[in-house]
Amino acid sequence: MMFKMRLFTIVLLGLLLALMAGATAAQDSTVTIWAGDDDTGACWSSLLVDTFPREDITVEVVLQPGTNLVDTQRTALQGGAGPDITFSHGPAFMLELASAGLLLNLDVYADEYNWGERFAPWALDLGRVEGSLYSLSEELETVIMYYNKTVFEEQGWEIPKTMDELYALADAIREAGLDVMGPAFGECAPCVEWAVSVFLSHHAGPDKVYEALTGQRPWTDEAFVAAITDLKDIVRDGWFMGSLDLFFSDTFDSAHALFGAGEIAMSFEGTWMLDNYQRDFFGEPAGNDNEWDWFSFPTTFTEDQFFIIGVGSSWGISSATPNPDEAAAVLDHYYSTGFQAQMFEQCGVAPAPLIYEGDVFANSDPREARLYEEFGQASSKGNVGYTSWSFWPARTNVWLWEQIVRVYDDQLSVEDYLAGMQSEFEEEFADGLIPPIPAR
Amino acid sequence: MAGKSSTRSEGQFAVGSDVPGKRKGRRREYWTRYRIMRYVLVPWLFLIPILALHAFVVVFPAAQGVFYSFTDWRGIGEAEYIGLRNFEEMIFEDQSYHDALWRNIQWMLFFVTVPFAFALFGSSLLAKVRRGAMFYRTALFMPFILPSIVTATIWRYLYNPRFGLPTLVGYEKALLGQSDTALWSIAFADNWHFWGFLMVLFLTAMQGIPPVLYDAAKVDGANRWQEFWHVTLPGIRPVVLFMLMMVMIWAFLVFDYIFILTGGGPAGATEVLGIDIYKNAFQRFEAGYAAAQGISISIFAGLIVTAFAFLRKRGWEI
Repeated sequence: MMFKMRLFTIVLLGLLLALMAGATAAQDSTVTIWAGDDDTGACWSSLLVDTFPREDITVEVVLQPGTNLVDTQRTALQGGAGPDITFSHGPAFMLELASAGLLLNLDVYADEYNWGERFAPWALDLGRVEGSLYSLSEELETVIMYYNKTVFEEQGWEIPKTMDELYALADAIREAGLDVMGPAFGECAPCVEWAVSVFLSHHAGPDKVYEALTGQRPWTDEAFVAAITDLKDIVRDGWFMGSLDLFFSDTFDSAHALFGAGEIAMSFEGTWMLDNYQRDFFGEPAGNDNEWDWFSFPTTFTEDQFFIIGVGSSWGISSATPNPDEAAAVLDHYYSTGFQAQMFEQCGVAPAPLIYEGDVFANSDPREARLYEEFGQASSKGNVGYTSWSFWPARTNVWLWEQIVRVYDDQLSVEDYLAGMQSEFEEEFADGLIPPIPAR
Repeated sequence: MAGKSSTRSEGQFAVGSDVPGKRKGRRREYWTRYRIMRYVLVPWLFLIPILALHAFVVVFPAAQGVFYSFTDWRGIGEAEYIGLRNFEEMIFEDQSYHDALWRNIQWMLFFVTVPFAFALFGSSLLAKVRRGAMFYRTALFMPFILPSIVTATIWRYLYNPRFGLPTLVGYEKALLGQSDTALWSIAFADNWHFWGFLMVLFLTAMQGIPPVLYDAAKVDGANRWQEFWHVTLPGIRPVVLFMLMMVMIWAFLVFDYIFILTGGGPAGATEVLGIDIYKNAFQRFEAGYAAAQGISISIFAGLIVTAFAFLRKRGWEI
C-alpha cells in the first residue's frame, strides 16, 4: 500500500513536471501582440494567428479595450512590460521609443529576411535611427479627393486637374446648392493636419518641403506662406461642411453620411476610408443609389497624379522581449505581400508600403486597386510629397495641427504660424529628432 | 467596577503570595503590554495593508510626479534634472498655460454659481414635495451616474445645428464650433449631469433642519424666500460651503467632457489645464513639463483648502 502511494506520488510529480516543462516551452516560443478591441483589430489579429505558418511559435494577440492603445503600450514598455511586438503612430513616435532603448535593432533580421528588397526603399528608411533599422512602416496612407460620382454625372462636372479647375468646380458645386467637401473635425483635432500636409506639398511643392524638413529652407519661406494663406481662405470660405463652425464641430459620420447622400459633393479624406465608404455610406447599406470614386488632389505645378506619402503606424520589437527571433519571424509573415493583400481584402486595413507585383489585389474593389497602382506609378516618377504625421518631428507636428485652427479662426497670422513652426522645428532639428526624410 | 476588581486582586495577593508588590508590578506590566498591543499595534496591523496600497498607488506616484517636474523627462527613457526650469517656463513664458488657467477659472466661476443655483432652487422645491418625491429625486440624480462619454455624446447630438436643440429656436450655428460659445456649451452639458448630485446633497442636509424652525418662521410671518434665506440656507450652510470648496478644486481637474466634445477646440477655445497637460505629456513628449503643470494644480487645490481652513478658524461653519 505504502509502495503504491509512493509510486502514485512520483508519477503525479513527474506528470506535473512534464506539464510545467511543456508550459514553459510553450511560453518560451510565444510572441505577444496587442490589438485594438474593435472589428478591425479582431479581424487582422485572428487572420494573423490563422495564417502564421510556423507551428513552433505561438502568436498570442491580446485585444485591448480603449481607444488609445499607443499610449497604453508606451507606458507598458517604459515599465518593462508590454507586448513583444509593439507599434506606434509612425516614425516620429518610433524614433522616441528607439532613442529610449525600448526597441530592438532589426538590422540582423532585415538581412536574414531580405526586407530591403521587399519594402519600398523610402518606407524602410523611415524606420531607421542613426542608420540602423528599428521599425517597419505599416498602412500606406495618402489623402485623396473622394467624389460622389452619381452627383458629378448628374451635374456634368469634370474631375479637376489643376487648382484653378478645382476652384471653378467649387463655385459650380455651391451654385448647385451643395456643400463643396467634407469632412468635419469635431471628433479629431489632430486630423486638421491632413489639409496642411496636402497644401504644403501640393501647393508649395515637394522639393521645398523636403528642403524644409532637412533644414535647408525655413518654414517661413514665401512659398509656404502662399500655400497656408490659400488653405486658410478656402476653409474660412466654407469649403468644408459649408461653414467654419461646422468644420470645427461636426462629426465624421455626419459628414460622410451627407457625402453619401449627395448633399456634400466631395470628401477630402485619407485612403483609410476606401473600405468604409463602400461598406457604410454608399449603396444599399446607406439606403441610397449613389456611387463614389476618387481623384488625386490637384497641384499648382503638374497635371499628373500626385500624392503625399505616409504611413499609419510603425511596428517594432520590444527590447525586453525574451523571444526576438520568434517576434521577427512573426513580423516577417505580417509584412509578406500575401498577408497584406489578405488583410486589405478581408479587414479593410491599408496595405504596408511593400513592392507588390502581379495581381496581388485582384480580389479587391477596382477603385481601391487603382489607387495603389497609380500611387506606385506616381511614386516611381517622384510625384510624391510628405504627410506631417510621418515626417514631422513630434513637437513641430503638434504645433502644425494645434495652431492652424487658430489661423482659421483669425487668432494667429499665417506668418506667425509658420514662424512658430520654424522655431519648434529648429529646436527638434538641433536635438536630432527629425525622422528619416527619404531623399528626392 | 474598577474599584471592586482592584480590591479582589489585592485580597488574592494577600492570601496567595508573600511578594504582592512584585506580582502587582507584573500584572501592570502585562496590562501595559496588552494595551499597547490592543490600542497601538493591532490597529496599525489592520491599517498596514491599506497604507501600503495607498503608498503604492498614491504616495509613490505622487512623489514621482514631483521628481519628474524638476526634470526634462520625455515620458520614456532617462530624465535629466533641470531644477526649476519647468516652473519658470510655466509661470513666465507659456501663454498656453496662462490661457488654460484662465479658462479653468471661468469654469470654476460657472460651477460655483449655476449648478449651485439650480441645486438650491431644485432642492427647496423638492423638499416640499411628498407625492412622487422619490421619482423626481431619482430622475434628477440619474444623469450624475451616467458615464461622461454617454452624456457628452448625447449633448453632441443635442447641440447639432442641423437637427439639434439650436434648430428649435432657428439658430443655425454650431455652438461647439465657435470660440465664444464652445466652453460655455460644454459647461452647460457638464452642469446638466452634475447639478442633480448637488441637489440630492442639499436635500439630504435639509432633512436635518428641525421643523420647529420653519414653524417659528411661519409664526413670525416669514414668506417662502425669507424661510429659505433665514432658515434653510443657514441650516445647510456647512454642506454648501464644503461643496463649494470641492467644486472649486474639481474645476481645476476638468478633462473628460471637454476632451470628448471638442478636444480643446475650436482653435484652443476650450483648452483647459487638463487638456494642455495631456497634450504635453502624450503628444509633445514633454512629460516633465506636464508633471510641473500637474503640481501647479495640486498647489491651487492646496490654496483653496487652506483658504477654507482659515475661514473655519475664523468661525465659519464648514
